[in-house]
Amino acid sequence: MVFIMSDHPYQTFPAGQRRGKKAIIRIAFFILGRSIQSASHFDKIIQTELNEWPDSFLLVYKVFPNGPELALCKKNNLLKRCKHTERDPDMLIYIKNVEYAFKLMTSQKGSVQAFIEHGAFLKGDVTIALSLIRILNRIQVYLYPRFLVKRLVKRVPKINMSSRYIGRLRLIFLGIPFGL
Amino acid sequence: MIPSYFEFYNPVKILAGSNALDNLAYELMNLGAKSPLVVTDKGILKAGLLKVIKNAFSDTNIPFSLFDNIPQDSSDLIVKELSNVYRETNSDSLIALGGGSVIDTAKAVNILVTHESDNLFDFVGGDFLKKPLKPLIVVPTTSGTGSEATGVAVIKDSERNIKMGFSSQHLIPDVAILDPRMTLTLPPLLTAATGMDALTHALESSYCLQRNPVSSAFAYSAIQILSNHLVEVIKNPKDPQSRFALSIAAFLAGVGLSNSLAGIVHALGHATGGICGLPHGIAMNIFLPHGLRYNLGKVGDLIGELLLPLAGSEYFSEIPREERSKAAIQFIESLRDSLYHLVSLPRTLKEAQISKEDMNQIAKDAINDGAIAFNPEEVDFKDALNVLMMAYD
Repeated sequence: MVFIMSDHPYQTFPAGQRRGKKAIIRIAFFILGRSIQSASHFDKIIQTELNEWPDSFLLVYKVFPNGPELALCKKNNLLKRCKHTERDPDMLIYIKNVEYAFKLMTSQKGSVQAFIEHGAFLKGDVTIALSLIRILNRIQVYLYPRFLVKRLVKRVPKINMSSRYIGRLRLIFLGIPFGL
Repeated sequence: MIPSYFEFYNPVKILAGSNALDNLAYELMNLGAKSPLVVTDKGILKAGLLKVIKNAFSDTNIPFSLFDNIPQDSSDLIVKELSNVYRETNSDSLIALGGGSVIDTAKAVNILVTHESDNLFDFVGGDFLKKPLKPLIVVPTTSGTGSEATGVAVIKDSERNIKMGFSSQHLIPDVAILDPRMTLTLPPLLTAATGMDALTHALESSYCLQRNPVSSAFAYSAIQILSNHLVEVIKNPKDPQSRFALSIAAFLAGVGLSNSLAGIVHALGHATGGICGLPHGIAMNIFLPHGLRYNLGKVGDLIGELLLPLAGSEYFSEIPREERSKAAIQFIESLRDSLYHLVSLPRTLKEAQISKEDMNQIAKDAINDGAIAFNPEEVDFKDALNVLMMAYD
């Protein structure tokens, strides 16, 4: 550990960095953002959920206080990854620390569990936050095997097998690489 | 089971017992407040409770302003109006004298006046208030909401007709004054409804997902006291000891709720309140057994354990473990029957004259209520609708 020596009878430590975990969180945010973007093209239930969101809604996930972030905007009833430098987000979900964000983004914790364990806090309309959780639950069914999803959600959303596998292939080959 | 991680916070100073209100001026001095705004509703004035407050201020050199126009279902409009009153009167602190609506309104006003804002919507959500608010002293006149112990405020969005939730540790009042004089005049029907509200807080905070051993200790005590005293108070409303017991129970249940949050019963109650104006306590009474039954698959054992504080150790030990959860629900149903026979507290949506036509919208709003996230069992639109239909008649 690096620390600054001084003549004082105390030491001052600079804030450290967890670069490895932050890099993994950034990659996970990228995959999640692209997956949401892609699934909002083809999943009818996600589209129904998004219908209830205001147009141009800006949602930001951020690791507190200055960690990686993921911004998503609603455009034409699709959620797309975007930059949010121009205005304050309509909804901000802060994940309280890098360790918790790492567990969340590597699916060791579920979205609801993050709120139960005070690992995340929310600024914005809770109605939309709950809608987002339902969207994320469906995304997880496309991305992960059932046994893993069962650990992360209270009840695995019903998506028939063919739609599930077609959706998974679409996310892997078009969604995550190209956002389509 | 002990959760892998939990948080608990309750800094409220409690002044409890006979003539507790007489220490009001001393507590204001402790908080550095010199010009409080008393917030209340017309019913409290009609019941003559303001006199007790006035007496508490006599010989203190502390002038106070009064706003008595809080409706039963407070909204963002009232909060805005009251914030302007706070500024006009140069107040430096708030005293909430009333039930849940009055206390929650005072908390919301406190957000606006502390942040020098006019837009309550900027603060919707959880844990986003970053500085301590102005001093807030709460004097509950009902024994139910537990809002005197919680960091939560629920205010109606007047445009969208839904309840907005605010939660922050800074919303927790500085002082709660539980003076038996303040609940003696509470009408029996309201006593029953608010008592069932407190019982619901205690029960849901004991089995919903954010439960933890510390908040459960508060909740268990609340359940025991409510179970022993609620019917007794209805039969003998002027008994100060029983009234005092209910006030303590409501506070304990509020501490439990504030640290564990609620579930489907509250979600359905908020939605029905928002759409049909059904008072919260009545909604809790209607939905409580249905919410318990809905969660039996996930937390049946926990619900079974609640039979001990509900019915006492003798009855608990007579019932086999696997039958305790159903016995706990039956106990609550028989409590509801007693209250119905004593004060006609509605047990079904039909008895509360709620129209079946509203069910779809209530179900839709319920699954978008924050409490639903903390319910052990997943709840989708169809599930919510099924529970509503079961609660109908």
